[in-house]
Amino acid sequence: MRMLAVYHKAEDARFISHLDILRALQRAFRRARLPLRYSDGFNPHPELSFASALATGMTSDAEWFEVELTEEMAPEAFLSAVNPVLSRGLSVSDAREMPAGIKTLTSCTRAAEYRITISTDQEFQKDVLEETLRGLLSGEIVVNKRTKSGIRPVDIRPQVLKATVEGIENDTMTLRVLGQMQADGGLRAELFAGALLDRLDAQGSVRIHRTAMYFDSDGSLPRIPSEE
Amino acid sequence: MMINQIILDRILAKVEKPVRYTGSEWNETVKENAEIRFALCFPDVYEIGMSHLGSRILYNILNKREGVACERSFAPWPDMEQAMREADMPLFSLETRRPLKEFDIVGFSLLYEMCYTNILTMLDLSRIPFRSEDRGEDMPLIVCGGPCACNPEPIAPFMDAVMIGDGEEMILELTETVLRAKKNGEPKAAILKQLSRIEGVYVPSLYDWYDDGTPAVTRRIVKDLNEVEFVGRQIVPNMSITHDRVAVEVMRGCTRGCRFCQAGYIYRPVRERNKEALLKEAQRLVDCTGYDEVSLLSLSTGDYSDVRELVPEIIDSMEAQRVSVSLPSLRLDSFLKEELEKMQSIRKSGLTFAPEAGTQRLRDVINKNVTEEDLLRVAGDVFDAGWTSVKLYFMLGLPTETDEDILGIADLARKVSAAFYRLPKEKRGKALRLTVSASTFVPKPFTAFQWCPQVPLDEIRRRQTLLRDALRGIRGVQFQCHLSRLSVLEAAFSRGDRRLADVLEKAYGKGCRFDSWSEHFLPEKWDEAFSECGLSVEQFAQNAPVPGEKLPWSHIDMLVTEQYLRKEYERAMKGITTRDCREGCNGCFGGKHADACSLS
Repeated sequence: MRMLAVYHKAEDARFISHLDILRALQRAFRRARLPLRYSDGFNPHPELSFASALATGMTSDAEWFEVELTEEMAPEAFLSAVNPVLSRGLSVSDAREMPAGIKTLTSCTRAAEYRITISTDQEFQKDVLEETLRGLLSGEIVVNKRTKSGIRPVDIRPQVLKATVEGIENDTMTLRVLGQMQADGGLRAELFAGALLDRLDAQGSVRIHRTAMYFDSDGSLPRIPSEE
Repeated sequence: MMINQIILDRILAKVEKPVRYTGSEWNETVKENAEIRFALCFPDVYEIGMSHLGSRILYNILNKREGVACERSFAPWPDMEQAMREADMPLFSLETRRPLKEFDIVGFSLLYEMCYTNILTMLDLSRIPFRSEDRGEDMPLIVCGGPCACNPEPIAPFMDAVMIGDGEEMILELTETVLRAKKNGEPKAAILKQLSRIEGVYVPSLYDWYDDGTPAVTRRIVKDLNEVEFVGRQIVPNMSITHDRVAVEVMRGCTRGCRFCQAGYIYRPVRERNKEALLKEAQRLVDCTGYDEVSLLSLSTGDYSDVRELVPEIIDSMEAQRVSVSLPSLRLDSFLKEELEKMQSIRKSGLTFAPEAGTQRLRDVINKNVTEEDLLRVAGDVFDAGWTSVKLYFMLGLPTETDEDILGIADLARKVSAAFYRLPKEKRGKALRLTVSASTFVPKPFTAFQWCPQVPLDEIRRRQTLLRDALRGIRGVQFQCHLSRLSVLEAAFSRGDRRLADVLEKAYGKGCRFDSWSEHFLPEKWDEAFSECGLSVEQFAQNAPVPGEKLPWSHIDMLVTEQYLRKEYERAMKGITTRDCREGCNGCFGGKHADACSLS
């Protein structure tokens, strides 16, 4: 069966790279003695795939992945076998059998939501921040993006579906940003945060937490919340 | 005082591989409360240190003991070191993020001479004075152990105590002695005196190096490996490390008697772990780590008494769980043909063989008792079984080596290559990758060649060129040779004396770090450091002491006698081989320690 679940990456695990997360989950699944399906070939490994790769340094509560098992397993049994053998900072939730009709998770991702926390070197009033954000969203947001062909300017405005100020306290502001996420690319939340800092003409350290991932599919996967 | 988490976070966001510094791995032991804290330090980067089996054993042994907390720390990579300096952040342990200065004992594993500068980095970042004499009562005790400790003199002034030999029992005795003394409020001087009474512990400050040469310390051994704790719950790192697998130690020591091999002498006598216990241990480790590879470690796994039962049994039981088995130290003459195809069926990796020298004459000199026939037979077998990637390991600059011996290496490579291409196309793999690796011989203390000068640098380079030219045109061959300047420095530090501590401090001050990493090695700075101390690297590397002359390590009793080593040296010069101890005792421990070996 194809087991679908969410892994969470907390503070203690935030610097683990995506490739190392893959290995960490594979090893944890072996410790949990799951009936794993292995790939063919010289280096057989458990079949595991992700909706998206989370950037090193980010935390998340919404990393959807699937793992193939050779036997049926109750989702609750899956969670209670895996959670006790995960290293500090990692956990799994929302296990369920993969809905029929989904070929791969990556093919049906549509958007992701981020909580961006920025600690700045100066304090801002909430209305100033909101005004700046509105200004930022009113036109192109050109950032320098590292691509295969070098660093080049890209307009990321079309990838931003929604961005709001969630709160501001002393020198720390929190934003909630809904960005596109598709197989061929999507919003890089850290670039958006950088653009906002530039517009504020401030320096700061940025922390990004992925709060949700949305899919375009029938069935039980979360869909983009409709605008009220 | 704990590390400032916000500042650390900021640093980690900008350094390479931050997971090196975050801990939180599966199976890590965190003790918030303890009576005594031991910082187990490895003076190299995380992925190297985490691969070291000895550190895994000691970590388990210390943490098993109630009241003792053992935490890890590694040398920060230069980018991290710089970031920590800029932030004025001290070096900390991974488990509780405590500065090293707040530990009771800070212990370094010495696996390689070229990591000595990293010891200074780690002390410096911890704001701990380098020299034992400059450290007061408020400072942790600085200790070390590991194979390089057999000649502790180059680092002796930095160490309060040096553990010589097997650490399993000694490290607990040392820790408990310090704990007891601390509870009694005893001063450092009294603690050091008590430590010096522990078998295997050398306290440099209590010993005048220029003394008469009576032994200051006798190497500690664990008599029965089955009676001591092993790895326990092996930590599973959150990043790839150099040896990223379960490792079980099959035996300690080696009976072959290769005359250049320091490990072969300083880990005597040979001691085996019980087969059933090994199988159980391997299974337990696989279960508690989730690793899919097990490595059987020893100096020569093919010599293990029950190898013909152990290897098939472990391969069978592991294969069913999709766990592969590797045997990194198989000698050419003990190769297990039947196991080859089995190993191949799970996972394919390269194979390394070590003829060490190119002609039978020179192999007799070094007592490496393998023949050309052995090599060609094994090469035929492995190519037949589908392997295409084979590495042959040699040394250049062995005592008595001539150009003929060097050309002999190319000859061997040619024959191995021919053995591959002789096979019918459908029977062999696509293309051969035959790596010929030639390192520079480093004469080491406590070997038959401890009296031999290292071949000078220019001559080593000539020999490397000679070999490179001779290998040209052989199908499938790639030549690999190591930085010879580094080998010269290694020779100096492995056979040097206390004056080298000054050189180390100077070199460190000039920025020398991670010297075994070619991108960081600064040979000119080392030359400057030597000359500012009125010394030269050559005077140590090319030192040729005469028989009977006091050596910098003469006061360390490593069980194998100096007379035996001298006898082996003389036999080497005559090209006479010495039998494997399993065929009969050669008397290496002399009368005094004969009881320590079950084969004598």
